[in-house]
Amino acid sequence: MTAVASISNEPSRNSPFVFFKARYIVELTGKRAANLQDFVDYLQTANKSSIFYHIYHPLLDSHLVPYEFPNDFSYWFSDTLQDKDLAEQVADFELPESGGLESVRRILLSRIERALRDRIMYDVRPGSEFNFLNCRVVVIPTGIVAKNVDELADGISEASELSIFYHMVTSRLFRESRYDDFSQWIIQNSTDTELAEDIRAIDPTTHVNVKSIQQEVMKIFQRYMKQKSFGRI
Amino acid sequence: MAEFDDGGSVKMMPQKTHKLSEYALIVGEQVIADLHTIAANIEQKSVVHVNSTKTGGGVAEILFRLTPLMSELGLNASWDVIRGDQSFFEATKTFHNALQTGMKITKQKNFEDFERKTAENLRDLRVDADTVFIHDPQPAGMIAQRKLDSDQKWIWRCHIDVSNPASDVWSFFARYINKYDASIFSAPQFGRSDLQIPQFLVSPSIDPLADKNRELPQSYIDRVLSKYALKAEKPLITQISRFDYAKDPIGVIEAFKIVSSHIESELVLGGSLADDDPEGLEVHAKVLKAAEGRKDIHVLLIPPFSDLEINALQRASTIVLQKSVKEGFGLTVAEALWKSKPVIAGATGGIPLQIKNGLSGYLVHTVEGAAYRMHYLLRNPDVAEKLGRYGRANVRQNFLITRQLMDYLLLMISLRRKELVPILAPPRVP
Repeated sequence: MTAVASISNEPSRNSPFVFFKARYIVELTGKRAANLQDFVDYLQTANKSSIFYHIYHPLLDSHLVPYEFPNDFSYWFSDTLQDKDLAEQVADFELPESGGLESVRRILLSRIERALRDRIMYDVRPGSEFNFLNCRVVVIPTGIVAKNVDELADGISEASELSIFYHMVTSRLFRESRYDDFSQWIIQNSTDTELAEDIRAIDPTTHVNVKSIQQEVMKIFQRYMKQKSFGRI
Repeated sequence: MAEFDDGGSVKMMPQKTHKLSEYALIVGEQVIADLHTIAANIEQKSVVHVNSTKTGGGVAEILFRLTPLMSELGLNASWDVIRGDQSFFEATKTFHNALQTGMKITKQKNFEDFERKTAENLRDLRVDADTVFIHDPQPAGMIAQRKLDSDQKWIWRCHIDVSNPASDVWSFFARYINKYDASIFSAPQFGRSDLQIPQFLVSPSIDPLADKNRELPQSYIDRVLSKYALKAEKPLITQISRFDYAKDPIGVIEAFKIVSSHIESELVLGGSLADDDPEGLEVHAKVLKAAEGRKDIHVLLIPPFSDLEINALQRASTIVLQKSVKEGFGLTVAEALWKSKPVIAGATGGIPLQIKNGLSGYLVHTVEGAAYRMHYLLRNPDVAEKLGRYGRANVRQNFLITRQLMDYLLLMISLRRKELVPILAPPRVP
């Protein structure tokens, strides 16, 4: 699948915020990199959903096992290629301000191509190649709906990790927006632009798991509401 | 299926399936609710699974449990088997080996026998449903029954490793497979660059409520140890698998001999012998020879349908090994991890999907590597405990039957909905 600039359930003006979550099914591509050059070649043409799946989707599993390197690319560079430098260089991938997954691909390629210049190329042991995978997203309603900012805060605290991940990461990347769903809806439906900007500024990839992202969003809400009640906003 | 009396004695019951509500206690209510929502959004309700046997083997075992769960979700699910005779199954066994090993062992007669029996099955067995799952190569030819100009979806589900197949057999089957709407493989490395249809990744799964995986009373575990003359006070290292060169049982014994010279422990190599597998007898004889004179090495012939005993041996283990050099998916790894056991396993087939090296187990490539990791875990029980804990969490999320069921449902949705990101309707409130 390809990333799209709009998803039919994206937040909009004068509509309540409807909480969704997504489930993901993985597609094989048969593209298998045995060395760093192969990897670059495949990455150049990889489906955008492949970049999403290998870089951001592992955040959903990160509460299970504390990986040293959080995304599939850095894990392979570290564990299989034994290239810790490169693993570190691609370990941290903030959500792009613009350009969505295409911009992630560009940054990734520039970091790896820099490394290519001084690496000795070798093939990994058969069976240890990097397999490029795509993913398809199926969106599921959760039954939670918010009609104002207070209800949005309640909904976020109640929502599952799958739902938080969908609105903060998946939807934003696939819509190629600099706004996650929560901040986009707040801007469209309230005057609380500072709240929206604070939520937008969260970088989910710096969190160890989705629970932690949810807690940070909630903290921002609480701080903002407190300041508002004291008339500071 | 079995039940226990107060003293841990087993009363054998017929094998039974379970309701989704029973899985909710393990995987959470949300997973079950999502299964209902996804299934309710599948408009084409009839589903049929087709394979080549009702009993024996992992495919039959999973279909036995999966089909009723699909029905419980409101799908009209059924399960059919094709018929075969001796020459057909000889042919499909040869194909299986050729696809998994890459060896050119197939004769022209095998192809002819396959085509003859496939023609008979096409005449005698009617496969008709909105979604048809064909499991493995044996029934692949049933695709000829696909209704033209219909909305039927035919999916070929491959349970074996076809990453390096014998080219003659693969070319033969690719002609059938490319007529399907989609294919499913068990591990990323099994994907093919020469198929023209979508390929999906769906890992196999274990059933946490089955006899092989369910919780057991300690009294029963103790009796199994006693039955096999195992000493509960010594660390127990276990590998349960067929007597097969691919599982490297001789390598396991060699690794254990290195370890046991420093740390007093016991090894169990448990497995079964299939009547139709002459190689199994040969491997078993070699294993006995390698273990000769060692009271701390127990080579156990475990009869078929001994799931409870296997469960007990795994639960009693300090470390579980699966030192395979070639593996399909290696679900014994998930079984052991589900029991929170530290696992040391060969980095082959689907095993690296189940174990992240150093985090949820250890992947090894050599006898010495296996011995080193055994030493390390026996000396560091805290690390062993942590690996087991992470391993169980990973299995809970990724390798239980409910996840496999969800993947099949998502695939059915995904093949029919035209939108790039399908959005499902909310569940109907009764």
